[in-house]
Amino acid sequence: NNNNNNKSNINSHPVGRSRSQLPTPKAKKYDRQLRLWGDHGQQAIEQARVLLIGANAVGTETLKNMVLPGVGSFTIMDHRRVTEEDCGSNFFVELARIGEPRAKVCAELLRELNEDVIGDFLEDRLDVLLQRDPGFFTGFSLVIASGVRHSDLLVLSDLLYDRDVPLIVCQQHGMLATCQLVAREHFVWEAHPDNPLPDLRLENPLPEFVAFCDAQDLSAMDSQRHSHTPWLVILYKFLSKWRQANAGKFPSNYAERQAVRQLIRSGERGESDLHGDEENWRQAQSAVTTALLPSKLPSNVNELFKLADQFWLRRQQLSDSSAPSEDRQAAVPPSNWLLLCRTLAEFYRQRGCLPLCGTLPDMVSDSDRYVALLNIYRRAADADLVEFSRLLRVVCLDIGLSADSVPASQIALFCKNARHLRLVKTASYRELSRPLPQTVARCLEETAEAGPSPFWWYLLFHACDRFHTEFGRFPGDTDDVNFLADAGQLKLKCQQLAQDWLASLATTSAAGPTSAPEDLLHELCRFGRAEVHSVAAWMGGVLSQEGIKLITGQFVPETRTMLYDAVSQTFLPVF
Amino acid sequence: MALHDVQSSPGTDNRWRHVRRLLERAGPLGGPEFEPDPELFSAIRSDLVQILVVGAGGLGCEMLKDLALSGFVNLHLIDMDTIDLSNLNRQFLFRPKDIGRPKAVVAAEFVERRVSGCRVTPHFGKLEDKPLEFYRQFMCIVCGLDSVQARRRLNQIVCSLVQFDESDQPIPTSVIPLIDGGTQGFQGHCRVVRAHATPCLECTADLYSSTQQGFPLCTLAHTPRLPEHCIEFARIMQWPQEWPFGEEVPVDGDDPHHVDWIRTEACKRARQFGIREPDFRLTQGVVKHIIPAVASTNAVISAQCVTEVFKAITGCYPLLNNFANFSDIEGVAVNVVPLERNPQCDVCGQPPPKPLTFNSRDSLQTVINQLKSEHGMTRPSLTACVEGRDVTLYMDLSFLRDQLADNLDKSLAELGLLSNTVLNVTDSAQSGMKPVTFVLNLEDGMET
Repeated sequence: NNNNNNKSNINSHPVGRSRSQLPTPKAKKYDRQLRLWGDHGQQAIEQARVLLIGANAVGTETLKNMVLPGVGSFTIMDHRRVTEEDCGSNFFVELARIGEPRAKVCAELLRELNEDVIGDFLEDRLDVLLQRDPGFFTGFSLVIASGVRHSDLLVLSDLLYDRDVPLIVCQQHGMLATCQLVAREHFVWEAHPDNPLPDLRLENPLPEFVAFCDAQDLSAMDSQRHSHTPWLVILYKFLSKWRQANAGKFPSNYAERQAVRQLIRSGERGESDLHGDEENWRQAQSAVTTALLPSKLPSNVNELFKLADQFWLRRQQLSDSSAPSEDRQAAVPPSNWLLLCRTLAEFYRQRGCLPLCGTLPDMVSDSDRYVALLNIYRRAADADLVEFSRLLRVVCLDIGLSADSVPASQIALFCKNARHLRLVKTASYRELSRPLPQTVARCLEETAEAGPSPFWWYLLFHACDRFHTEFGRFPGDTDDVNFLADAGQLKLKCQQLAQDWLASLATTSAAGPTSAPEDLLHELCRFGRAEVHSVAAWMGGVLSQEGIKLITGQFVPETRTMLYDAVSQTFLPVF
Repeated sequence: MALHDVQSSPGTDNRWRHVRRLLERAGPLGGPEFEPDPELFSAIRSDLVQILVVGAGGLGCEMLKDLALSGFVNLHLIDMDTIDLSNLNRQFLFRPKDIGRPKAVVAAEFVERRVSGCRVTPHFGKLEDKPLEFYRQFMCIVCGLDSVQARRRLNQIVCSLVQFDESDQPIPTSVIPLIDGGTQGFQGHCRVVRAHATPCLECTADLYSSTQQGFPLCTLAHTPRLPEHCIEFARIMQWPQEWPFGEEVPVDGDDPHHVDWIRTEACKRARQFGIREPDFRLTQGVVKHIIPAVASTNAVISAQCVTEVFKAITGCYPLLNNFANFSDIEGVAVNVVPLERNPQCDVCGQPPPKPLTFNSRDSLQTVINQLKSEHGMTRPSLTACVEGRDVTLYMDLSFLRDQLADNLDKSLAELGLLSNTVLNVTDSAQSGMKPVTFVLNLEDGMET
């Protein structure tokens, strides 16, 4: 199992560090991306092994954007030979190499993009290798299947899903492309939210913070000191005043927060002299909206607690029962993230809060007071981290693991991002590609009113796959001028598919048509499965970053089935 | 590889099947006036279709590739930079051996080699190095710039190429679609500009936020709080006092020794105030205003832009109306917004150029007299584009009056001015006045 969650070498020599502090050539090359995912993210990328099945335009464009940032290694599987058509859509083939194995040519031209990356290729047919050597597939960190037929995807996904190897599936028809991430469980270590609320704990303030604020006498300050008092101190003082006058309760609604804001305004001096601009007081007033929100456990974290508790409960039940140890689940040690989540739940139960994040936003202030505040919060966060680590050791020992199972840097990263942690998961491709009848009925009903929608296209893509299975080519993929003749068969396939999907519904829903509008049938036949390069490149950009999210555990992946429509420039969920 | 006639090159029939499907087959979702035609494909590869890519960096490389694989063969590429090691994580047409060479040149070489039949003419230089007439040859301009100033310059160029008919309506063939792409980390945008129909880049100048991190000087000097403050203090205040690498030698953000000096000083100051000490990466990021960048976002935005270029030239689908946002930090979000023109826009809000009617034998003085008597000018100064170069005809400023005095008696023909020449006129007596454009109409006239 090659996923990043069990990395024990997160401390090893990061890419950027050298004794003189001057960047290494590699750090220089990757500088612009290191600023986005850090040295540890880069390390995860450099340890990843990616398999691309389908060296077509979308596939190679996706891989290109993973080779450039330095993915450890890739393998391309494709049984086809380079054709003239490839040379009009795929950047990683050449006219001079028509007839050669496509996997070989693409592997060479992709590998030469980045000398740090290892790449190889296979000419095997996917269906053959799936039968002959299924173990081959589960050794990768990520598998990308571009333009692979449905029947093969079912087998592939079944193989990868339970082994926790994430799969990215994509198809292109002309100006349209669909994609889907398939991952049983993916833990997001660092979500990097856009505007996170600061972790100030004003509801239950840190004792050291209280002492610091109490030692400040606003009325006795000269104007320099007054106008350089950090807003956090100002806010706390007036909050306390309000709480004293309201039986100690914490502001719980808009009106009460506004009352605090009014109190702050009354403390402004507003005289204009050399240091007269009291921006800090204005900052204190605007901070009221975000700093005084009652803290509650984020739902994403609550979900993690439930998962961890369920896992532990099951473990307990299995060890208590006299069931034979055939059940491998019990014997497999939990991933680091599960250990950490279990500990987090325990921490929360004991302390009633998550570990303190420890950072503060910037604010107008003199140096000494801002630094003092930072240190107060940092010390408290450090103390929480020590306590958390102690609890973690107990959790590990308790289930027979070594006390140092999780590296210190990973524990610190986990605590720092505690509020934004989440587990992302999808169903298997088998389930995803057979939507629930209720879902289908709803989509058909919606589209009957709104007109062409991603759902129709998605349905048609599957119908095209069935068409291909029967006729050995895609609708419209012919030099025959009468390409529209295929529309009839495509329509039949579409209707059959919709009926299949609706089959188990008790009521025969006559609510919507079960055939795609004529326009869409026509347009798909027009495309004839063309690989329009700019559309493939767009999808390649999106999928490569989704792959990096899965590899690094940073940023939040898109888990819905999506459709890119380059005509309307939309990227919308199918269901 | 020798450039052979693309019409007869082997493999054209099948090679471009993907693109030809869109151009030769009718489709119900196509553009309102689109008519499929087997000649369309060779039309987009004729000399009439010239496309300019502005910028050969992260976006430019992608755009060039995408255009080449969309079937276009007459591409021009302009960029003033040379290749740096830090480009190689995303500017995929460059290799370590190319470091130091001009981006436009290397990019052109690579694409011509890889996509045979595609001609890429590189221009190593700035936008201003080219006269206005250079830009007139393009049917579409697509840009991937990283500076607001360059974007505004390009926008002015494109807008000033627009000509107007008798009822002050822009003549469609003079409106060159400008497709603009920009990225920052995991976010980006793609927009379509058709001057006078959609907002130009100046209409929405406030969308392009400056990346300057201006910290108040008193914070840097007296109340630093962040490592960034310490870095900027070292760069702005300490450096010009100590000139660590020689008198008057300015900070070079690309020189690691310069950056390291700043870092060392910043760390000393940070220790003094109890602030976290900056590392090299943070220091260089602040000194150079570095914007993080990855291949994936550039790929997305460029592809979206080139899809729009294809639509603009072939008409096969309606154009994006008119601004698309992209972000893949959390999930993947694409958002299309129809921005509106700014009627007060400095660039496209201007009224169309007024015609000035003369005879080619009339002198420049005659023109100036008319500007004074009939157009309210006191001391007009004029520039015009003559034979592909921007020329100052006359400047009514004390230190230039004499130098250009000879022009006053010359006839318009002698000065090389033809009908349809656009004159840009400012009035030295009205400071801060925006230039007014006029177009010359010569009754006996030869035309540009």
